[in-house]
Amino acid sequence: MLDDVVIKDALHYLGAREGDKDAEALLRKVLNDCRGAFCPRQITAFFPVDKTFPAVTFTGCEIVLEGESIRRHFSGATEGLFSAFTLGISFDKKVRELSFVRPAESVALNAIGSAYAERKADEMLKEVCLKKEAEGFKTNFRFCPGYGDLPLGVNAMIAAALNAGNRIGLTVTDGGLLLPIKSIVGVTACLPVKE
Amino acid sequence: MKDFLFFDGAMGTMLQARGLKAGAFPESFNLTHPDVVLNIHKSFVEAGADVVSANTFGANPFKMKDLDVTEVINRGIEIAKASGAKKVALDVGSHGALLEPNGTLSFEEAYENYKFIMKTGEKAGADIILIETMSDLLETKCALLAAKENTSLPVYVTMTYMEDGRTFLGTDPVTATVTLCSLGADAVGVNCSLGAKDTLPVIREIVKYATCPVIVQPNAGLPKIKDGMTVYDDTPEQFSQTMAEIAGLGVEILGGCCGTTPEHIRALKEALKGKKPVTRVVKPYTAATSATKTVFLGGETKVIGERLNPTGKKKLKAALIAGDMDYLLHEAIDQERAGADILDLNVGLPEIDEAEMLTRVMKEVSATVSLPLQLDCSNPAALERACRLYNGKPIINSVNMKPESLDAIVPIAKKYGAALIGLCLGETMPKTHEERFEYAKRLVRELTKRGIKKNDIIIDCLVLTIATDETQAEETALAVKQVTEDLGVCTVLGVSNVSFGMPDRLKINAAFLSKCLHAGLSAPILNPLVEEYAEVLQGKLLTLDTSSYFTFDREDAEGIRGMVLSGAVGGVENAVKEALKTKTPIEIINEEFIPALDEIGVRFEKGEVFLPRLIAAAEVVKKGMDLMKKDGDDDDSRPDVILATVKGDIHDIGKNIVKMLLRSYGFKVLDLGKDVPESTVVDAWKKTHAPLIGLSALMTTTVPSMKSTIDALRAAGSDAKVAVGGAVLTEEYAKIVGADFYGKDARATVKIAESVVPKTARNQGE
Repeated sequence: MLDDVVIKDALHYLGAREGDKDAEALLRKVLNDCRGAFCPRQITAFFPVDKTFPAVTFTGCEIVLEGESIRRHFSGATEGLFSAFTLGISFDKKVRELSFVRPAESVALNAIGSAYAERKADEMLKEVCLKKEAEGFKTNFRFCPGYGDLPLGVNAMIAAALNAGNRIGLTVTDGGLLLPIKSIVGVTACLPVKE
Repeated sequence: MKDFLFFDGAMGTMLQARGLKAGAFPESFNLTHPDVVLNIHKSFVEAGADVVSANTFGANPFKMKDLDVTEVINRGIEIAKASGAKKVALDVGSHGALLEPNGTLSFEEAYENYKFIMKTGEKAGADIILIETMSDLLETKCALLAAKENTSLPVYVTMTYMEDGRTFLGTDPVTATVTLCSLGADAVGVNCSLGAKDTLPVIREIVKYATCPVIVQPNAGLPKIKDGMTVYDDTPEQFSQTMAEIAGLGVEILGGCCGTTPEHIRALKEALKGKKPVTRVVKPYTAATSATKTVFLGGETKVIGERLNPTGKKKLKAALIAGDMDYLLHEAIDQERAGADILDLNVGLPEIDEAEMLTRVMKEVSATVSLPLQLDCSNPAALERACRLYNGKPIINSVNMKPESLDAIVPIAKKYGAALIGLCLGETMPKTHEERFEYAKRLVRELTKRGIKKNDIIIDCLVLTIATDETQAEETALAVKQVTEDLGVCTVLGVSNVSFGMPDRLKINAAFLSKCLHAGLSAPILNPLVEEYAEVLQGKLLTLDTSSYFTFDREDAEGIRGMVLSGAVGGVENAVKEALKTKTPIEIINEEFIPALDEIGVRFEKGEVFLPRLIAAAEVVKKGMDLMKKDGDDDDSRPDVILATVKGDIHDIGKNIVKMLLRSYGFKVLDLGKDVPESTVVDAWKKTHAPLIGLSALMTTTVPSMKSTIDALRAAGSDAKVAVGGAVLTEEYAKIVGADFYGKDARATVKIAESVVPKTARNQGE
C-alpha cells in the first residue's frame, strides 16, 4: 500500500505523467532493489508552549520559533510536538553508487527517497499524534523550517533539543541543511479539544 | 588489566533533571552552575567510580560559537578534579556534523578542532582522554590521531551502535575494533546505544578482536518519552546484573551512559566486588577494513581487484589524467559486484601529482564502494596522506628489503596501523623459491623488529614472467607454500605478471592461480571480472602446462638459419664451425644470423611467435657470436649503446632482452644494470660518447626517474639519442620525459639502434 503511494508521489517528483508505464516500472524496480538501503528512524518530543508572542517559545527547551506563519500554526496550541526523521546515510551512498553505473536509476531512487521519506515520516508521526489525540488533543500538521517565513536555521535548534545527532544520526550543516539527504525536521501543534 | 576500572554514569540526563533545558549546552553549566556539576561528580565518586568524565563532551569550537571553549574545558577538568576522583577523563564527543564526503566538514578542520581540545584538556590536568558516542569511524580516527599526536595521555574510544548492530554511518563493531586497535587506542568499546542487555551482541564481537582493554558504558535501558522527557528505566539491579555478565565476557572498564545514576554505578561495583577481569585471549588476525567492512585474510581465499591501476590500461590512464572520477568509480563498482573483497589502488602516473590524486581517488572510491583498499604506492608523501585520511585500516602495497624502502614505508604503516605487504625483493631479484623464502624470512624479521605486528605482514613472493624463465611459476608457488607453512603469514601475488609476453595469457594465469591457491595463497591480486579466474576461485582445478610454449620444433632445425628460427642452441656450434669453412665471421653474421633474427622478429611483431621464442633465437645467435669472437670484442670502452634501468626500478628483464637482441645484431652494449642513478648514466656517456642510450622502467612510479636522467644527460651536454621502453611506457610518455625514441619492444629497439648507429659505424667484431 505504502509502495503504491510512494510510486505515485515519485512519478510526480520525476515530472512524469501518471500512467507512464516505463517510468513506473523503473521506479518500482528501484524501490524493490534498494529497499535495503532505507533505514528510517524518527525521534519526537513534546514541549509545552510558553509564549506565542513575539515568538513561540516552549518550557523545558531552548527552541524559539519566529515568524507570522509559525505563530498562526500555533494559534490556540498548548504543546509543540517536535519531530526529526531520517532515511539514513546508506540511502545517500546507494544514490551515489547508482549515479556512476546506472544514472537513470540513481535519479529514480532520489525521487523514491523523497516520496518514501515524506510518507514514512507521516506514518510514524501519525502514531504519536494518535496517542496525543487519545489524551484529548487535536494535532495539526508537521510544519518544517524553510516553509513560510520560518527560517532554515531552526532545524539546528530542533535537532539539538531532540539530541537528534546521537539518537538517530541526523546532522545539520551550518547553512541549516539536513544530512543524511532524506531527512525531515518539523513541529506539529497540539491543541486541547474543548468540551 | 589486573583490576576493573570503574567509570561514572550519565552527566547530560543528570543535568536535565537539575534544570538543563533540552538543546542547551550541558557544558555551559561548568560556568554557570559549577556546584551542580561538582555534586554530580561527587555522587559518582561516592558510589565507587574510579574515573569521572569531565563535563566537556560537547566542548568544541565547531559547536560552541558563543562560549569560550578553553574556559569551558579548564573549568570542566577543574570541577572534576575537585570531586576527589582517582582519575579525570577529558570527555570528547563528535562535531555533530558529517565529515566529507558524507558531509561538509573536512578532516583537516576536524583535526584542528580536536587538536585544540586535546591539548587544552591535557594542560588542564586530565589523566585520560575518552572519545565517546562516536558514529563516524573517520571522525573517530581523526580524534584519536589528534589525541595521540598532541598529548601523552591514554586514549579510550567508544562508539555507539543501533539495534542493527551498526553505527548510524554503518560501521560494525568488528570494523571499529580492528581499526581503532590498529591505530593505537588504549581501550576500545561501546557506550550509549541501547541498554546494557541489547548491547550484548555488540560486546561479544568487540571482545573477540580487541587487542587492548575493552570499555563498556551503556544506557540504563532503551530511551522512552515520558511527559515530554526522555527517560531510561533499567533499575540499578537490572543494569548491574547485565553488566556483571558483560564483565564475564572479558570487559575490563565499565561505567554507564544516559540514564545511569550513582545508584547504577554503586550496584555495578557491588555486583563485581571481589572479582577480577577475565583474561581474554585474542587470536592474531590479518585484516583490512573500510568504514563498514572487515576482510580477514588467511581463511577463505580473498580476491584483491587489480583494475584500479593504470599500468597497461589506456582508458584508466586517460581518466586519471583528466581527473574523470566517474570512470574510476565505475571500475570500482564493477569489481565489487564481480566479487572482489579488497581493491588495489594505484594512481602513479608521471603527469599527475600522486599525493593529491591518490587521496582524491581513495576518498571517492571509499565513499562509493564498501570494500577495504590496498594503497599501491611507493611515494612516501602520497602514501602518508592517503593512509591518514583513509576511513579504516588499509593494506600498503608494498615494502621490500632495500633500506630506503624500509625507512620510508614502515613508519607510515606503523603509525596508521596498516597491514603491510612485504615484497620478496632487495639487493637482488630472487629466482628460486629458496631465494624468495629467504627474503620473506628477512622481511618478517626486519618488519617485526621495526614495530610491525607479525599478523599485519603479508608476503608477496614476487611473480616473474615465465616468458623469460619457464621455472618461475613453479618457483613462486613453492615459495608461497613454504612462506605459508613455515612463516605462518598471509600471502598475496600479482597473478597476471606470470604470463607477461606470453600467448594465451588468461589460460596461463588461471592455471597459475589454481596452482598457487593449492599452495596456500591467501589473496590473489587479479581482475575479478575475468570468468576463467572465477571458476578457479570456485574450486575448479587446472594444471599449468607451459611446455608447448617452450618447444620449438627443434628436430626440423637445419643450418644456422634453422637453428635461430627454432631456438636450437645445442647444434649451433657445429653449424658455425661448418659455415666458417666457407665464410668470414662478418659474412656469417650478415648473411645467416641477421636475416634469421629479422625473420623471427617479423613473426614476433605479427604475433605469430612470442617472447620465449624470440629469446631462444637470441640465445642461439649469442652462442654463435661467442664462437666467432676475437680478443677485444668484449671491450665496452666504445659501446654503440648504453643501457640502464633507471633509479628506483629493479625490473630489468626487459632491458636484458633488449641487450641480448642488440648484441645478437652486432651492437656493442654497455649495460649499467638496474636502479641506476642519473649521475652514473651521465658519467658513462662522458667516458664513452655512445651515440645511443636506452633507458627502461617497469613501474609508473619510476618513469619520473627517466625524465630526470634525460634532463641530466642534456644538462651535461650529451648529444646521444635516448630511447626509452618498459611496460608502462607509451609513445606519449616518451615525449613527456624528453626521449628521442620509444622502444615498444626489443625488436623495435633494434630498429632504433639501426637508425641511429649506421652499420659502418658499429663496433662489430670484424
